Amino acid sequence: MDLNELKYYAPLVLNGVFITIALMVCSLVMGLLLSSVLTALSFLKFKPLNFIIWLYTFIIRGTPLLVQIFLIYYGSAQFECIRNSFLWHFLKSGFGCTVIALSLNSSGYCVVLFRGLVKSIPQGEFDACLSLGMSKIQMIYSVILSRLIRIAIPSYSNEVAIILKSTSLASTITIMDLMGVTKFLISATYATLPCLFLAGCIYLLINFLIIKLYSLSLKKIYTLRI
Amino acid sequence: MKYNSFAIIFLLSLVFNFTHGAQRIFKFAMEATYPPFEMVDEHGNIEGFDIDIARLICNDMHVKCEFVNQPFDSLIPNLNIGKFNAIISAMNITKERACVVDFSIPYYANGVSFALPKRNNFSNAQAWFIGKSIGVQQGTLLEQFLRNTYGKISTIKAYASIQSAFLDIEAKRLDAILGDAPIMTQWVKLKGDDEYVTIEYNIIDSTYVINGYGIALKKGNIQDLNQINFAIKKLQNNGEIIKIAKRYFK
Repeated sequence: MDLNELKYYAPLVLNGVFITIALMVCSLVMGLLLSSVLTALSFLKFKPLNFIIWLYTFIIRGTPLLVQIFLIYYGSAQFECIRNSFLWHFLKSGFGCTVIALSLNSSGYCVVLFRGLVKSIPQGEFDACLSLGMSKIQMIYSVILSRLIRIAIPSYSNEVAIILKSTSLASTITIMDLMGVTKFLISATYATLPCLFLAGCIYLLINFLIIKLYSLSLKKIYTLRI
Repeated sequence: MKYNSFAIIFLLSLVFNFTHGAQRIFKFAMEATYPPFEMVDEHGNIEGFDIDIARLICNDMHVKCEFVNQPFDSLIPNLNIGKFNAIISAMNITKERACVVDFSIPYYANGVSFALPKRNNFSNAQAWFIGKSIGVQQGTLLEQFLRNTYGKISTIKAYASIQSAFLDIEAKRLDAILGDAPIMTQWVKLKGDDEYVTIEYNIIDSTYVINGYGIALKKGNIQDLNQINFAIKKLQNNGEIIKIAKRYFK
């Protein structure tokens, strides 16, 4: 690949990077919301609900992400009723399908993570809150949640890194993310190794920036009194 | 000393027997989701137009044919690291590909067509392409053509297998698919002619000339290349290729 070609393909690669980051951010936000709700629900001590959440995490964690993406993308299109419903607006595009698959996936793992973290908070803290006369809402909002965020951030960084790398599967359902662009470049130039190497470096760079952002936010959060 | 020479003669005779008895194995790779060129039949065997031609070429070369099924966009990289001897996968001879592999003379050529629902009223004008989603097979000359020509005004979706594109046009995610004419025709026939049509398309841009399908070999494999070219010429002259084409592209 010479310099001219590189100049020609650079906007394409940048666009791919943008889509990869957009996929990651959308999936993380949706996944975080979903897993927070599910975690909260799982502490309601309502047995059927707990079973449903257990089944959900079991299915999500037990099946490959690629299968989930294919099922959502090609499976949803098979049903006339889905094609006519409002859901089709999201499911029509590969982007929507990938975000749905990734956020379901992320939430499946995070529910387990968050439940464990909540359980790791010593019972004494709950007791202390109650003995000070706090209401349950007050207790959760001003003590437990801030405590949870501090202990969750380091382990949640795993999730961010995994989701970033998982976005590369979007290229299998026609999304021109970084991996999709790489595949196109390979077929256009047949420089397989340099293209893959470049893609690997860009993924690494994005991950590096995320780690930096993380350690910055960690410093902020640990010195901040919430 | 005596025993040693016996042993050497014995070993040599073994080696000689092996090379003499077993035919050389020649591996052809293809992406076998491309009927009628190459497909996997109900018994799990790879069959199709290209396979029949490869078999005849192998007969002519006095080698034993074996077939390997691979995704289309990984065929050339894997050929070059030596996972198989040649590619026969309805692969058009292009300048870019010829930089990294050696091509045989073309053994067959045909046009390209769009397959699309009748209601999408195809027209050749640029205006038709605005806002349309067009499916194409990943890693093909047609993908390059679509992305570079219509990439800005329409959405080009590339699929690892053309069969996934057919699924997506049925799901109305795609407005049209561009591909080799026989594949499009066969699919439209399968779906019944009343909903979908095929429309022959001529690519005018000289960057994307359809040179015909060639067999790709690793660069510098002159001996096999000459044998394959010789075999193709023979098959063209005795009408075998036309006979096979008639059988597959009715």
